[in-house]
Amino acid sequence: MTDLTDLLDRASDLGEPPMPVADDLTRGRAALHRRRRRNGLVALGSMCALGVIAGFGAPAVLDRPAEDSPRVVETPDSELFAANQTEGPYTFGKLPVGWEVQGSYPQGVTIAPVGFPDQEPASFVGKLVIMYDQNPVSGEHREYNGREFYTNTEGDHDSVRVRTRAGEPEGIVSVQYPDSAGWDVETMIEFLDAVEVGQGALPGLG
Amino acid sequence: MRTSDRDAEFTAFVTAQRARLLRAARLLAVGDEALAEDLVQTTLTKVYIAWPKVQRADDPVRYAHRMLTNAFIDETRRAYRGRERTEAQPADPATAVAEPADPTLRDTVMAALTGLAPQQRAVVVLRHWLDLDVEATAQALGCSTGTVKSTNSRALAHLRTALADVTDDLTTRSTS
Repeated sequence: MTDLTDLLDRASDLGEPPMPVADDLTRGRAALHRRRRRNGLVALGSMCALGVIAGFGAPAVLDRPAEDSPRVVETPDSELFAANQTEGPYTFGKLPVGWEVQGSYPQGVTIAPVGFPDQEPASFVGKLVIMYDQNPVSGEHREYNGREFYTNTEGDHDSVRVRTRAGEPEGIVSVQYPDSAGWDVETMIEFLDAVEVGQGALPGLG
Repeated sequence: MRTSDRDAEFTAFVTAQRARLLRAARLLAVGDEALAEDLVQTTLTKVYIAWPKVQRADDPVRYAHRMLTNAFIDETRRAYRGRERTEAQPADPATAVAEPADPTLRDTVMAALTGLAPQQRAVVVLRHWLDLDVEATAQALGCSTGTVKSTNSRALAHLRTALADVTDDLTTRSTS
């Protein structure tokens, strides 16, 4: 005697791989935006400012900023302070003074200065963004604390990438930050080295 | 609704439900992984657009599965050449290639489902995998309860024959 539900269950189970949640969000947002534009609810041209993520290989979970936010916001230089803050699957050993976590997703976290004009958590522009992905690493190589870091500069933002530690989900964790923040690369390597990636992290797609 | 709220809620929904939607799509698409992924992407895009409505539904998960089934029915009515293919691949090809625990069983079940008309397949998935009752299935497919019952009956008759190699006594949990 065999139950049909059980047969269907077994036939459909492939032991699912990580799911591209970020892409679903990106498609949904794009489709909603197109619909609103068609309906005249959004002014022509409001699809501006994909921001610093364009062409960057970042997880697509994060989209355009709030429409009234500036393209680039000057932010003060800020030192790191010892923290032990957990946001979803990510734990931060250090955070910049005067900055706060805005958005937390399985694919990453956005951090912005307190009182930052763009309060849209899923926007990258002018913010410090932690991302987890499984894309290849490239860029200028630096070593710190026994790990290999890779730095890149593109447009008005910089990034640092490093392989996750043994015991963390396999992949790359990176930090992307605006030039205007004034941090040097050593500071951001120190910041990224203090980031821990937990088991709930999902890789974004670039 | 604020975009950030919608994004956060949608992300949580997709994280929790995407795998199950994909499995349903896989049954509907009889093992065509590309089509299954297309169906899920189409469904989730519609879910995002209609999120406030989905959220207000009595059962948002079932609501999404209804949308998936409708996307499948729409797909079967469309000429193959007009179909758009998957926009994005799963995160990492190395990890995305998955194998069923029992490939022979999977092949047999998929072959049996292939022998069903799309509407029959949809009824089987809704009734016997998602465990919707006759009324909910009829609502999802936009047909009468009588149609669901007769379609289900014919589908089960086919499956009993087609699955004879793996079981000589196919049972169902649902009553028709």
